[in-house]
Amino acid sequence: MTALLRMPNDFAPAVPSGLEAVVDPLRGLALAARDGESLAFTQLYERTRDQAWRVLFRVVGPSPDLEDLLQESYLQLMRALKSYRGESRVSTFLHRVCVNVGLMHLRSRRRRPEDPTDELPEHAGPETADPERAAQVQQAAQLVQRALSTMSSEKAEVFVYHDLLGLKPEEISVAVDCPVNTVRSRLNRARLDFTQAVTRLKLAGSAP
Amino acid sequence: MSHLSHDQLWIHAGSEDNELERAHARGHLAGCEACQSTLEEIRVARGALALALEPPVPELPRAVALRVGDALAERADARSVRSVRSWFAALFTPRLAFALATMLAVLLGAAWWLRTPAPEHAQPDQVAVRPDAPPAPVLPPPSALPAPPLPPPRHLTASITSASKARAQNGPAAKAQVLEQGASVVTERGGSAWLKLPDGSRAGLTSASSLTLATLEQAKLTLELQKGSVAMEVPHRADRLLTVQAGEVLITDLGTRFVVSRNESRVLVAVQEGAVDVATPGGKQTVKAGHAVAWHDGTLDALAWEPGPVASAPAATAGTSPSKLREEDEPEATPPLEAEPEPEEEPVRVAPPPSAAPEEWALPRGLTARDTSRDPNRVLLPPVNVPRPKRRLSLLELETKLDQLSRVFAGATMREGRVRSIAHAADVGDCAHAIPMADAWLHEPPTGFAEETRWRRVVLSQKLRCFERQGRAAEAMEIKRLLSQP
Repeated sequence: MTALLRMPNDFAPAVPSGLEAVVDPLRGLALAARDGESLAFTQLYERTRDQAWRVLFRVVGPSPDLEDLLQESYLQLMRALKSYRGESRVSTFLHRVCVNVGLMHLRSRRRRPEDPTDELPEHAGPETADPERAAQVQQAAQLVQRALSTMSSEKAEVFVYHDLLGLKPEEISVAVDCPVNTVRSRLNRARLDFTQAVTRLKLAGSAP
Repeated sequence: MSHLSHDQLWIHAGSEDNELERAHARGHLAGCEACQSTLEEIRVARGALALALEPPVPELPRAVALRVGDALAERADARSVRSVRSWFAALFTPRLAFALATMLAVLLGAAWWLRTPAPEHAQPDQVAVRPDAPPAPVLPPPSALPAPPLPPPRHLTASITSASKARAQNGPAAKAQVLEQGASVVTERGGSAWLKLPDGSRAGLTSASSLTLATLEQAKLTLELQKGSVAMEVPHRADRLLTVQAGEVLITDLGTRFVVSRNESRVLVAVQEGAVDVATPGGKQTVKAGHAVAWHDGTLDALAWEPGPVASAPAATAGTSPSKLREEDEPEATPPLEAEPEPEEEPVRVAPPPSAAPEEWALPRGLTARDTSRDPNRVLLPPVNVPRPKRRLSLLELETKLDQLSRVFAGATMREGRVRSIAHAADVGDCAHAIPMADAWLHEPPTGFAEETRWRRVVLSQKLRCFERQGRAAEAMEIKRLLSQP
């Protein structure tokens, strides 16, 4: 379980090279994209799409909607860039957009019935040798996603950052722009809500 | 005994507490069923979380990345085109339109009030009233008086001072022909025409041009250029506004000599002397002597314009004979207006003072030749601070310079097109094609366009992408170094 608190390599910041250590390497591209340079936005997408994909996958799992969510995240980024002043890190902001887009998707999926005609995603992940284990993993992922969809957006956001993406409270504090102590107290309440939601869902699932 | 908090239990369930905390928690849990129950729930929740995070995140499929990238590129392109338009459209909110309309109404009212002479009513205390006189008629209250009608704007006329292969008002243009408001002057290929406007300004049409005198009023002169080029020699006068409308571009004179050229794809404004204001849907800009701007595809690009006379290169306009143009320019090199017969209707013409240089600009409104003859001591001077042009504009020189500028413009357009080709080749991964194209582009001499710096950065970025794809780290680092330079 301690592995959950470790920052996965997937979400570690890019290793800074000599040039990139000084400033946000994406700042210039974001400013150019804000000013209407379409090529700059394309380059911004190409340099950040893998990170955005990992964040979205962790939040919503292997869903056929991942492609739409990736596009929606960047469209929201495009709109948000209008007010970008070059003061915050673009990758941090993009992660927050992806987390919120993913959580919104989980909530909307909870409100609408499951569509049995959903196509299998082309990115379902590697096949496991143990089908029983694979079924348990899928069941657990669905349980986590349903529990997240019942939580408030503030708590769910902090919980995802800490327990799914492995960020430390200090990093979350920068990402969500609030004090570290607020992040800690919000995280405690989020864990309580998550536990209660999982318990409730398990009881509902085991009921005849 | 107080229960363990949910946070303590969450940490205990993950074995993240230290020895002391663990011992305390175990001691409490041994005797507290409620905390045991909560701990069990937490273990289930954390177990589900760990299980859900067990599979690794797969790589972003290439096909998905390309599909999303294509969709985003389309949206980004559309947004970059819309941004200028939406910025301009955003200015015209209903509230702003109402405010502007109100302000305009107030200004018009104030202008009318100031221009209307005060009624010369006798003051009551100045009238001797006899006791036996009949009572004076009672004036109706001011509100009952009919509002005096606004004076109609006084329409002036322009005239043609020289013309060759030109038509005016649906007939062949002739020297000294008077042109009313709304008249059009059209020159054929190889033709030219010089017009004199009522304020003394001059407009020269080059070959294959069409110009309409849209408004000829005392306070406002507006010319509309449909096609071709017009050279303007305009003294700045505060008592009237002279503008040239060329498609979406509105040029307002600030006392200058300038050229406006228009074709299907662009409008070009070049300033020989002084300055003009150039207003486009994208904004307003003041262009000074030695500079030119080109409006095309919704953007305004700055160009260099040599204000001095150009070398006597042959005019490259199709169908235009340089010798013919030079011949037509010759009369303009002589002192203007003196030898030309002027139409009698010309309202603001005056003979130049004998001792002064040939007068080129019209006199301020209200002064006529009769005034000078009646008051010989009165000295007629051109408006204060109006720079007098040292040398007349030559249509031949203008044709040549415009042709040179058009070539620069066309070269820049092609250069921009090649930037797109490089980016496209890099987008589709065709680095074997993109890198040589980028190298060739970078070795070409720059055009002097304001966009040149941005294009260079784009080309370098595409080259960087290709080097990174091909694993050429040293060359990629060199490009990064170049890109880091301002």
